[in-house]
Amino acid sequence: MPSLSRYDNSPVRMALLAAFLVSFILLLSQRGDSGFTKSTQSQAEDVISPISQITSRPIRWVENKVFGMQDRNRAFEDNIKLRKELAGLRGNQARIDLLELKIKRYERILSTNIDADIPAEKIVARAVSETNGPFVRSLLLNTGTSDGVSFGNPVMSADGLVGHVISAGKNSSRVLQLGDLNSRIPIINKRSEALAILSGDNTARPLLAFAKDVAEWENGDVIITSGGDGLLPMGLPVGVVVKGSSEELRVKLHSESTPIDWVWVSPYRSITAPSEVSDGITKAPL
Amino acid sequence: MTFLSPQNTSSSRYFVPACFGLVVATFLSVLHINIPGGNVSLLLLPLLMVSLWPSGVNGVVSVLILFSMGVFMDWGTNGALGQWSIIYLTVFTILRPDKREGVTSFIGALALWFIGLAVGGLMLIVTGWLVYGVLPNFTVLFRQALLISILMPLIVLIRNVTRYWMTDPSERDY
Repeated sequence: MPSLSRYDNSPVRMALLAAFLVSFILLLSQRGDSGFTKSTQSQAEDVISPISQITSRPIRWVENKVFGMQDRNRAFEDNIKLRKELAGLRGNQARIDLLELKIKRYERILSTNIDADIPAEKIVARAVSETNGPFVRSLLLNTGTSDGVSFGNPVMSADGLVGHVISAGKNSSRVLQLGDLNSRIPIINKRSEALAILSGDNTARPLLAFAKDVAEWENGDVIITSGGDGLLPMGLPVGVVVKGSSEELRVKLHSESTPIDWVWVSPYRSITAPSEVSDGITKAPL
Repeated sequence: MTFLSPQNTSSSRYFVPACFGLVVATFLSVLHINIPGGNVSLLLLPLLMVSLWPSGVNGVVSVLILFSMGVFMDWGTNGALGQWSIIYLTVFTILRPDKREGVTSFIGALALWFIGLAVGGLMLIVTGWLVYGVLPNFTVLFRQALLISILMPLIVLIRNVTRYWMTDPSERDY
């Protein structure tokens, strides 16, 4: 009599059935925002973050050696280039100081304050894990609420905006990158002041959605955050416009130019919606 | 008095390296590896480990490990919870390690990987479409599949050497 295969027994079939069932329930529960899954994910990330940091050490060691050698080879050329840039920037600094003075005077005359609301404080973090999968583009940082990181905070690299914090655990936080499917950032064209939404579509170069007049956008136009959503401050550098062949406007992100390793989180306090603010007025009973 | 039956000893012989391999692959898959000119992602590395899952591991234990590691992978990659579990379990159900007998040759392992990749890729597309409502970035998916296919001979070699090293000299059959 032929013996039954090891996995044809009912405990395995039952286990498979149960595992499939639980997986489908978990998968379908992702369609809504479940507070339970979010808090569980934050806790899991607090565990994953330090382990990823330890696991990545040998890889980072090799990377540092390779990139260190490349940097040393380029040091001379970089030095000349940086000296030229510095000379140019010194000239610009005087103009910037003068403009700042002018703006302050105008603000005083108009009794208004339009200070750039980018916080001076920066929380330095290391990206211990990066997912550039077919559906998700995110980072896991090794800093969390204990360091002052909170939901919605913008995350910057040395080159520009990388994304914003979507969940913050005690010692880790998850960043949604600009290219992710769920990322929508209001931006402004520095040249034409045209507004649009930077919409992630899981590619390295996100789309510009709701750009009303295509003529207002040209190749190489610099894009910054508009702060229109109240979640991100105005003026964070994002990237430059790249026009596709089919009238499609895309953005080459500044943060795309170098690998994301060390980043900083800007502890920006988003503008609270009026309904969430307690006005202290108690309504009289009807 | 017997503490371990021969069946258990044999099962743990396969269970430990398989489990260890899957855990390491999962951690490697969520790390970003910077190389000159860009970075690489080993997102499909755990799928390779699942495709080459050893036949000696107990079935119920296999299901539990694959389910847990799938959920862990979803947490690590910020993906939809349950997506990778379904992918791993489907690949496991279709490849049925119990049908394999003896040591899998390199060609056999290659065939298993390509079947696993096809099934896993299809499930990734279907489950992703179900949750996100869009098709995946096929360029990224293809690039990652290609990278793991290139690394596959090296991984199979490491796996075979580890298995040889962990096997009692009297039980070595390869």
